[in-house]
Amino acid sequence: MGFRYLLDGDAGPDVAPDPGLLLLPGDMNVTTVTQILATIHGQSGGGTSLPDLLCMDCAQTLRLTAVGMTLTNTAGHRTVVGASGLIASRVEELQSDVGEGPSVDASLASRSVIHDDLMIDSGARWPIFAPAAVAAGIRGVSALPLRVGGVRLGSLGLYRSSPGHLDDAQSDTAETYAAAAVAVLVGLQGEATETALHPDLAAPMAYRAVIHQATGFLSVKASLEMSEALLLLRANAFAADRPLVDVAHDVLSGQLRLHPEEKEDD
Amino acid sequence: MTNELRLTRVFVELADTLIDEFDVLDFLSVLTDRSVGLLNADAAGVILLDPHGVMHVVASTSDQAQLLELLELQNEEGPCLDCLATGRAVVNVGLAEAQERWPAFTRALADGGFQSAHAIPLRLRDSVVGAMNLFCTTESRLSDDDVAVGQALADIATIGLLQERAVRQSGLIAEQLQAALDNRVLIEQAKGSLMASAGLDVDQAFQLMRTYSRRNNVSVRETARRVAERSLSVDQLRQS
Repeated sequence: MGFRYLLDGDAGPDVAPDPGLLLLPGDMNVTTVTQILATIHGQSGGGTSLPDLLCMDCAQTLRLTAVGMTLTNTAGHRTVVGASGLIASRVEELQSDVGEGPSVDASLASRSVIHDDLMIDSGARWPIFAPAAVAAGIRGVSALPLRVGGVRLGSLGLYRSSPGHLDDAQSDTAETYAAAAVAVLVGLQGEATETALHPDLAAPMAYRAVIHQATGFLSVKASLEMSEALLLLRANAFAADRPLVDVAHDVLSGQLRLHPEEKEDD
Repeated sequence: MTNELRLTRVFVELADTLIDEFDVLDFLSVLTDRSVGLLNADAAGVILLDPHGVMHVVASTSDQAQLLELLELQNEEGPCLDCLATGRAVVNVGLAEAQERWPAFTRALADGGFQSAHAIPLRLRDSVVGAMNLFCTTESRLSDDDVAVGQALADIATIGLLQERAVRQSGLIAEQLQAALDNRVLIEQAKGSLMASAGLDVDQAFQLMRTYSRRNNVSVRETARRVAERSLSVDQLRQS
């Protein structure tokens, strides 16, 4: 329709959208999203990022052991941008390292993922993630996709130390937190320039940058596709039971050699 | 059913439309249908002004050509044009006055089988972005209450348009976020590739790509893409 340009930001009076009004999927409770945003904005300023504050607030409200927020790019590379604490950050990073888990599934499939007890029937679903998460003290998991229309932004992972799942009212609340998380991400990036990431999102990305560097490094040294090089890194990290970031550091520094022998391409 | 109750139901229905799988055309279509019912009109349409001041029909209760023409015609003259110019509702203009103010419009109105027309502004803060037009087959009069109801409906239409804009802006920012994430990964991978192929450290690798990008007037992203897919060699980067 020819009138759509009328709705563009540069046409007509300039109206900044209220972050609380942004994109509330389904039958979302508008007031509650606004309340969540108001709460975490009220707590910001102490150096803790809004995504972290949202995860903490969510964990507190739903009495969860851990809540983590992860961004995912189109190729599936993940960046943990928010965590309620150390466990949250570990469980989310773990999924980025091994490439599987509820958050990975929620983000990829764009739907909610629930598993009541990781000690039961989780072997086929997440053979690597499940035992590692249990070892970190997690039993019940659920993850919600973060998306704007057709754009997949990532996931909000909810973890509890006991088996079980959220009841209907709690699920609704979790959905509201997911909507608030989207508003936070879009709000932050809306403040950044078009091509760069907002500092609060870029800083967490820097942590895993070394993995992508090691991927590029290995792809040249071993003549592999990027995706194959990443798998090789992952396999090594898994076999050695080490964080992917540590393995990546060692590959770059030359302390760890994963490629069979030196090949000169050019 | 009392008028208040009917009005409340319409507002609830429209509020539902606003949140659930929002489509601005469906929304405005529901709005015009309900406005006709609530204000005892026989047809209605919504027009919006584009940045050049041209009116466009965005919703109407029927696709009847004469109705659409009536709406379009008001780019020349008619209650909508006056409403947009003044920012005020233009209602209850008698036939004699209408013939004098808008001769062509009034003839077209009669050709369409209508006897009266009203226009209510879509207001956004201090400006007017469009108008809702009501057409009646009799020479109808709107009471003050009717005008207030019509204005409330028009205000809801404006909210719907703002919602549409907010949704589309979010989508745009989300896509930028995705692109920025993709770029970061690509650039890091390219740094790693250069570290392996040229024995550089991570900062030197980035500097090399940045210098090449500047000299050749391409984005660092594009340079990184070529490095990562190995269509750009270290020698080429250095020679630039």
